[in-house]
Amino acid sequence: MANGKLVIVGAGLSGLFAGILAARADFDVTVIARGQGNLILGTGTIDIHSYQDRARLELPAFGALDQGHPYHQLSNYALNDSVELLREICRRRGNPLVGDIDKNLLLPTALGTVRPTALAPISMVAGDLRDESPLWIGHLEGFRDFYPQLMSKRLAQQVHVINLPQGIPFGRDAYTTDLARALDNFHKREQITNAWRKAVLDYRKTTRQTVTRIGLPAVLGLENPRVVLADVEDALECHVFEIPTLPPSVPGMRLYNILRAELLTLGGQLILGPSVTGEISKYQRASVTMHTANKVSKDLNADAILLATGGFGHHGLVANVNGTVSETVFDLPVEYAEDRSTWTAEHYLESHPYTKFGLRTNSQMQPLDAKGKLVADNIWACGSVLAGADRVSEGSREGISLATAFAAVENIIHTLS
Amino acid sequence: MSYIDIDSLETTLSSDQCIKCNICTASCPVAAVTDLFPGPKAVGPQLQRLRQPAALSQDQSVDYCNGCGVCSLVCPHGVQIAEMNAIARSVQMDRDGIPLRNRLIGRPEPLGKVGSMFAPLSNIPLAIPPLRWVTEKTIGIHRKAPFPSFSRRRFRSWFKRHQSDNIIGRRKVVYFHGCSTNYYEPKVGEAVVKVLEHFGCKVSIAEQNCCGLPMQSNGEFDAARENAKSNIEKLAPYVRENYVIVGSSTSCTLALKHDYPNILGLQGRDVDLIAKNTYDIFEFLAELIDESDIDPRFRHVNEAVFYHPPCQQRSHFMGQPAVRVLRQIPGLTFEVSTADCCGVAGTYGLKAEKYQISRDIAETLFAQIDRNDPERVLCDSETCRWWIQGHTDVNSVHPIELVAEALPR
Repeated sequence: MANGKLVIVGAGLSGLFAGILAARADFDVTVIARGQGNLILGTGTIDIHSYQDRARLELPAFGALDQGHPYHQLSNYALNDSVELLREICRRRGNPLVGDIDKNLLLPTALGTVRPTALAPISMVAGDLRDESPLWIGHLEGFRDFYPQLMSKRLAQQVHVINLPQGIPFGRDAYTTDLARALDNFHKREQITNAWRKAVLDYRKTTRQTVTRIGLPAVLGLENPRVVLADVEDALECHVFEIPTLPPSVPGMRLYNILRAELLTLGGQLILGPSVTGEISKYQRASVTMHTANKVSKDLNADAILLATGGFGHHGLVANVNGTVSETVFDLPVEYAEDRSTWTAEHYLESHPYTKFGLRTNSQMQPLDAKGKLVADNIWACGSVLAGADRVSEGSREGISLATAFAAVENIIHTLS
Repeated sequence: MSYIDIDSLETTLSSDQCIKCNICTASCPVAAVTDLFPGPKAVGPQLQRLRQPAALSQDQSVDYCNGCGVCSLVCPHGVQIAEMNAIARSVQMDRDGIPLRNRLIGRPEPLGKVGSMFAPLSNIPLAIPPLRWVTEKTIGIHRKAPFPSFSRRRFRSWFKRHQSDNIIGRRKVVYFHGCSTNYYEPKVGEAVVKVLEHFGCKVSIAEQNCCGLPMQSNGEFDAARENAKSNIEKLAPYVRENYVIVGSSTSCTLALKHDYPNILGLQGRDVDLIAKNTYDIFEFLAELIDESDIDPRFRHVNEAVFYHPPCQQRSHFMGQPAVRVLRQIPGLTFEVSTADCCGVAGTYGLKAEKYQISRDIAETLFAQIDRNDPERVLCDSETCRWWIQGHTDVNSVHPIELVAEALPR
């Protein structure tokens, strides 16, 4: 029989990853989320810590970070081991991640900015800008929201644009997923890559350029990205790399599908749709209830509850009209600034103080109240609901999600067994 | 019992919550394979504005929704997209008329009564290719769509003769067997009764009708409501006497739990009573095993199977309870499908104009089955089983049959 019942609220990276860890430890795991997690909106890369200063690529020592930073109270192996496990799962399931935990790749964005990230799917790494050679970017006919001209205007590198035809007809505006699924299909892939090949050959002939690497919007297959990448590289006779697009993000969906399959195969349960509310008894025992959109409520049996609900963007935290900030499942005490005028910085792209609001925990990842006391004996928290980090400006979202999920599950196992 | 106007159902009003993120479209199995369906967002919340208060939109594409329900589940904002689309389809059908074909495949109950009476003779026409060709050309049922065989022996007659050891029982269960168990696959019902009795339940079967889902998904809401009301009237007295309703078809139980109030708009105390006390067989079993901490004492089963959780199962919000029970059978190894939908979606894939779409959706699942090469494919939904077995030639059974095989002798 199972070692205990764990209910995880949230199906983003930290929720699914925690579910996998607990299912591996023979826990009865239920991951429940109000809709699909946020992976489908992300880039499918793993940011560990990139600092605002792009020149500094090395990871800072955890001890040198702010006391309140989620990394600060973790042991180094939480990050190392969780990233290693994620790499193993992704490799085994056909979408290997490339890179190092303590160095950053520099990848181009669709807007022509440089984005540091620690690990990226193998399909993105040929775009690494540490290699200062020119880039060729494919402009896909009929595909909206991707304009290589933007990249050529803004990147320091030399950027050339190659127009690539659709290859096959689409009856409507092609979404990223439409292109990815077409490329997954052997026959359609052949038609598309043949059309691209011809366009690139013509381009080579007319410009007499030696095309060494071509960037494409990230649509190179949902099911078999390795096969698609290899076939496209064969056809175009150069390196090919993906550039993340607007959502729905194909690399994000790949990561979601991989983690979901791993969780289900290990016997974990996944419930998408309902919202979850919780209560804490006077004996400090927490319990949770799920509520479906059609107003059916059901108590979930749980020895331990792990909050992986995310921050403001994912409804783990909400800012109320009266200027308070709430945690959405238990209404736990949230660390935030009372003076609302201090929440935001002057400029949009600066680091905003509100991004550091969230739950404060002890080093066992159990939420604390303002006095530093445990709020309940059986609640843990991980991921973006935690206080102390501006995940966007410091580029640390996925690293925090993985490492805190790892630490939380380690402590849940320790506590329950 | 009354029903409320669909324009004021919360289901339809939830379109206001849509922020157009397209997560639903990215997950939709139909939009993934055909451009005849622009996706759940486009025909759901987006078009919904043009449907208020009456059907102004002339767009027909909502009929290409197969009703798998995944869009409502992945929506982070609680928009009931699939439900909205089912309602929009019925409004469209009311306006444009319901084809004879839809009326026919929406009625497994009268078909089953006649078919099982004359079985095995009644199975012969389905096996005659020229006849299937004529059926396709005249009424639009695709010639290659697999159909199940009528069973001469009905489940209800078996149950009448069945001698139970559990007269008292620690839990009282009224079994909603549905049409497929009664007329096509009595073996599923026999397995359900055997397993429930093994776990100490007293099992009864109420008078019952077809749940009405086939009519609902073919656009006949009024006829579906008649069936729903009849079932609610017949089942409610049992629940009042502390019975729980347990079903083995994930789509029938979903109709009882969810569709009656949320799609057909039925309201009333008994509607809620039925919705709250209906269980999928594995949802019930997993809870029973958990609560009582009983050791099921399953026998060793040396087999590798492949399990496909049907799409309607996810709308039960119960996880994958069959996996939780099957994992306790020693020796059984299984792989779980990650395909979102097998394609057939009840009666959708039987239709001539939709068969190929369903086949294309099925590619993901069939490729996984092919890779795993299982002895049997397990699936909780009958229409999925028939579709899978008909196309892959791999024997497909309800997971409860496997549990029944694993019971101690």
